[in-house]
Amino acid sequence: MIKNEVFNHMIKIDEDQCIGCSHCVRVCPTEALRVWNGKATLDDPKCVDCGDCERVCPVKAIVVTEDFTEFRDETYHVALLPSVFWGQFSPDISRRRITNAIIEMGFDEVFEVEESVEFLSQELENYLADKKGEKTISSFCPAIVRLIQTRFPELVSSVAHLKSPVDISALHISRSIKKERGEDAKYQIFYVTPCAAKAAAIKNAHGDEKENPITGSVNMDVFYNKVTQLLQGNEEEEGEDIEDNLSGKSVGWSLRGGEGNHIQGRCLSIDGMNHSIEFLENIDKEEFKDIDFLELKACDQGCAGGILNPQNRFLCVESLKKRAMQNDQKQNPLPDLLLEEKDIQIEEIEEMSVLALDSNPSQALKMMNKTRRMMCYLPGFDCGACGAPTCKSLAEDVAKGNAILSHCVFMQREMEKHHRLSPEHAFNIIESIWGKDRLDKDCNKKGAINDYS
Amino acid sequence: METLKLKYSLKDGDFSNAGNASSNIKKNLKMLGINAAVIKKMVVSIYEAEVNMIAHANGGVIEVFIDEEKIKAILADVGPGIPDIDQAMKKGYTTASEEVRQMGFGAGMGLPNIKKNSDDLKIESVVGEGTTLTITSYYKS
Ligand SMILES: Nc1ncnc2c1ncn2[C@@H]1O[C@H](COP(=O)(O)OP(=O)(O)OP(=O)(O)O)[C@@H](O)[C@H]1O
Ligand code: SF4
Ligand code: SF4
Ligand SMILES: [Mg+2]
Repeated sequence: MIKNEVFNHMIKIDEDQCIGCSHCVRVCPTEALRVWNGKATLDDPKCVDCGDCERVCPVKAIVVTEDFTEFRDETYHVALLPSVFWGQFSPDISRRRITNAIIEMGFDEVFEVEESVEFLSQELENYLADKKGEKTISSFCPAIVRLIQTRFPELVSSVAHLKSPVDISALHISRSIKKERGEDAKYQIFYVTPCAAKAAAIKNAHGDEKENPITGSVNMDVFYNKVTQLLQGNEEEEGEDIEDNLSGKSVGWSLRGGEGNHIQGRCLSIDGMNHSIEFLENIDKEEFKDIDFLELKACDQGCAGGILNPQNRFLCVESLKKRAMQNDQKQNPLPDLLLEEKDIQIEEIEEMSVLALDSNPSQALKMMNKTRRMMCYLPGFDCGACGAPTCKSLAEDVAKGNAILSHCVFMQREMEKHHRLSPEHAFNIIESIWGKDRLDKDCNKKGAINDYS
Repeated sequence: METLKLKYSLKDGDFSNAGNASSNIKKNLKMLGINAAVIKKMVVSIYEAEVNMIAHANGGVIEVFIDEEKIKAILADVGPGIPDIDQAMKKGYTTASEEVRQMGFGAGMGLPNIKKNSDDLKIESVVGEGTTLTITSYYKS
């Protein structure tokens, strides 16, 4: 169930690192960030954990919280790995060698997320047949699902009410452990996540252990470093490599177009937050009338572009495409899954709009009109010197009472001209946004005389 | 009562921009905090009227008045007018040209859909002068 009173976020700002440069503020597709007191601040309900802010941060101040609980002793530990993880390694390192390294870390079993893809894709095909004539949106990428819940609540019912491969595989794993080791068997399943959004989805599903047996997530960059360290001490073994069971088509499910590959009907595959938003805003247009399935992924190239992938996303895509070609003839690992149709359905995806300016419509109307009145004065440069990403977002902040019009540097000039603001006061405003002494000379900042980076 | 006014001009035959006015109205309604299903119905009815102005009536002007309990859209064109409104309201009745049909319009479902998805629909039309639709929907019915 995708239902939460309080939504857990994995994206956090490390205030000690943040230099208040505002790069993240400008790119956040949901306008969830502002600069205040010289630091980026995040409006949690608006954040969808897409990671676009992390990509542009010059000092690594945007961090993905780990949701890792210590290994419990006497427990069976499973590492659940997405195929993009395997795509991080050069082709001459065998699966056996990588698996050995993971076992050395203390895991008892390694399972690839995409092993449940063939099962899911069959169910998806049935689901789409039921919904013929309606546009169905993939539920795969949690950043996109969250985007729809918060900004396109009218489309929540169009999201496929089907779980994603990670949850389906985890359910299978928990059942097979119980089958082999008894109902009371203790186990922990850790998902190695390529992004903040998947980690958040797992965190938010906690509390329902039967439905969501994943214990926690490990950030892929950290995990990868551990594995590479261990690889240095372990040599390639003689003999056969571990068999790669995935069907060719399953390998690329998480990449752009990977879901569409499995679908008979008409499917559009869109990657990137801004492309996805643009599309969702225009989804009702006549030209998209006959589309059956929409595969939207927050990251460029899909999960290969997730912010926790240590390697270049294009190399990862290339590696997975090769693997898909090699496995082209393989059928699917269907018969082994301990799952039924009903296990992979999602009961409810909640509307959680964050767009209303106020819960009272008449109050919201006043604020909307006020926003428009403010826009008559603001210059429309979207320069960001007020700490907000656009003039319109400053106007909204003013209407909500979270900012004042004189946060705009051009408004300050205007007010000074009419003697309604003293230069000292204007300077204080700048410091309240960008931090104290921020305008002092500093030869150590990026690009300045002492910077050689 | 606090009212938000919006206004859009539509050009004749400008199908590539058909839907822009209704999607902008949708954006505004979402900021009001009203139920998504209610917004959906309102936007469908305004969208159909918007397309009709582009397809049948040489474009025109849409004025929208949003207050705390309802949205009222007035769509006025200076097109050919509708000779028989009762007939035009029938499901499947259309005079859409072949070009318009090829773009996926012309099922004769627009006006019936407006009626179905709104609380009040008023059509005033004078042949040779133009048509004005007034569509009203309440957030709570
Ligand atoms: N604004 C208008 N001016 C002149 N004629 C109109 C106008 N709106 C509708 N009509 C007439 O009424 C008919 C029915 O309109 P309606 O919207 O129900 O169907 P349609 O536009 O033909 O097809 P659809 O809406 O399903 O694409 C139109 O074919 C046209 O003859
Ligand atoms: S994760 Fe995405 S939505 Fe959240 S603050 Fe960063 S850019 Fe904005
Ligand atoms: S595309 Fe994949 S990696 Fe990127 S946010 Fe979505 S699930 Fe995460
Ligand atoms: Mg019509």
